[in-house]
Amino acid sequence: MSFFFLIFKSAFRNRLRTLLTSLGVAIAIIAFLVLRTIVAAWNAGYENSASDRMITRNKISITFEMPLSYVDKVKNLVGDKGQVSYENWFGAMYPKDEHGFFANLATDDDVFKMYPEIVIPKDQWEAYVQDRQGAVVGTRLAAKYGWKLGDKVTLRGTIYPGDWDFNVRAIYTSTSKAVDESSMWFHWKYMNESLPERRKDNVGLIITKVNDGSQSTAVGQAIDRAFASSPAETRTESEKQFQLEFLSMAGALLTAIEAISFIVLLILMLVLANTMAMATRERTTEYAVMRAIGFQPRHIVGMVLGEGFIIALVGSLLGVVLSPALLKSLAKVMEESMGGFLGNFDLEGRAVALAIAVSLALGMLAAALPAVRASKLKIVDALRRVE
Amino acid sequence: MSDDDGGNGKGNGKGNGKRAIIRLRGVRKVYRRDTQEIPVLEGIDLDIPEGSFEALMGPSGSGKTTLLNLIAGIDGATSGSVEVNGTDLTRLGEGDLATWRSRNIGFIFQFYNLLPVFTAFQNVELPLLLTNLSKAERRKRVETALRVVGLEDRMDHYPRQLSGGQEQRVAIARAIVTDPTILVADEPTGDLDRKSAEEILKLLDLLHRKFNKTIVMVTHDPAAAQSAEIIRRLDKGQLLADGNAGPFR
Repeated sequence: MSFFFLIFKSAFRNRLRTLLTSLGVAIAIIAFLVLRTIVAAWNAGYENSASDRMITRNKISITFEMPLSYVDKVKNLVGDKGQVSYENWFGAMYPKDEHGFFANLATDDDVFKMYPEIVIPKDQWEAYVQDRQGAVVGTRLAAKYGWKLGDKVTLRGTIYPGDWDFNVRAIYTSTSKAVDESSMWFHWKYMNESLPERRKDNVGLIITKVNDGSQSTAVGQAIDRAFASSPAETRTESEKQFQLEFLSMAGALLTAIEAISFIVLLILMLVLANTMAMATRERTTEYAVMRAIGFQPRHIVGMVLGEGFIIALVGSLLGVVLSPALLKSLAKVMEESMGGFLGNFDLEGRAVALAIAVSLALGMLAAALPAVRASKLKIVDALRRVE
Repeated sequence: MSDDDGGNGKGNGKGNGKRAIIRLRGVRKVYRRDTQEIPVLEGIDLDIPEGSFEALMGPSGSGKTTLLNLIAGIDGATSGSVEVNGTDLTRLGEGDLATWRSRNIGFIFQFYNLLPVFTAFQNVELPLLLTNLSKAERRKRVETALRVVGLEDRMDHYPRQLSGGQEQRVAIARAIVTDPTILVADEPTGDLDRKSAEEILKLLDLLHRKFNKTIVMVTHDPAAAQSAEIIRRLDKGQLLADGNAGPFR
């Protein structure tokens, strides 16, 4: 027998209570990990976005467009210092899944050159370029709707009304969290040619990729200066800033989710504290006997803290093991309602480490007060309590 | 034993030529409840010779368990001196007292107080966790202690699988496993039937005679007290008189 065995056996002496408490810890850890994963998924685009890509949009709002002629002006400004391309948020929906959401954009072909993280097989790329109604779809989107290469897909326009037919010519994968695998791109020209005259030749976003990332700010300022006092003034930001601005719309919600994730851990601590208080109270006489036969107060403190540690460890490991299955189900639900908008729902190692570390620390903190109380028992009083 | 050794005649120990291993002088113990003082022991002078077996008797509230607790170092005197096995306990702090107890005192309680989740072997091994003994040495000592109490074949049993008498014998094995000089027993037969009680008393007598343990036993039971060499009586916090030898002499 060793001290560890002593602590371990004590922790599991009331198996039902230890099991229920561990389950409570596990549920708290699952809730914590789910909430952290939602926040991480929301921030993934921002955190992984490139610093050398600049987004230019209408200064009034993202929903206002800019003349196509701006693209050439930006190209002239940038010159050989980088590449310039453009796209429009198309915002159509799939009639067979009206409540489903996925990003679909009318895109200049050069956009793909600026996003090396989008990986398209060469033969599929060539097939896409040659088909005016061709579309590039993400792996997850294709899997969700069962789309295969060559399938004809009809989307119903909302910003650009009407039924729009596309042929799936390429299925891409992504090497970065900045680009999810649930989007669809198609030729900007196809959209533009199909629009009524009054809506033609407008772009939503102009994307600039500078060769030297340190020049990004200067290039952005030069672009905005060029269109100052024009009918459609521009606002140019780094891709990171652009994402951040987008995220700020949900900032309060994210802060609330983050706060709740820590409140969940606080509840965990209270559950553990309650268990430890009950456990130590029940064992008052035993602690007194141990103290009588020579155990020091620090031994008792160590035992109770150790028990809190073990219960928290079992619970948090259980939570970590069960979390991926729950996240998978949640990801499915989120994908159905939000497409790939929230990125990946993969459990992050950092979140797991944080959950376990915080859980263990709280486990010991929860046991601290009962531990100190148990160690300070007057032996004769504690022996008299039962006898 | 001289007067100096033997106290002042207020119920002090009967000299038998051996040194006093337990020596109390002018011990007073008062419990406080709010502002009220409740005296439990008053001016106790006591010498208990090394290797003796003594019984403390008296009515409830007479202070016998308190006196036992002072001797065992789990409670402190309000005033006076408590010297046990050459150590003045009133000078020791909490940590030093715990260490001292682990080396000098073996405890036997009325309700055995075994840890229910541990086997007989593990319960007996418990005090040895505080020593530097190797696992093999600990095993050897535990087996010896269990053999002395006649439970070597029950070492893997949990307390719930043992009778009351067997539980008390495991508790005695736990008390002797560190080979302490002094055993303190608080109503060791109080929760046992007559037959089991007699077995426990025989075992205590064996520990006293064969292993030369100094035993101080608190009991209500006159029959149990008869197994001691000396019976001391307490009433209202004061020692009254010495007793005589029991039937196992």
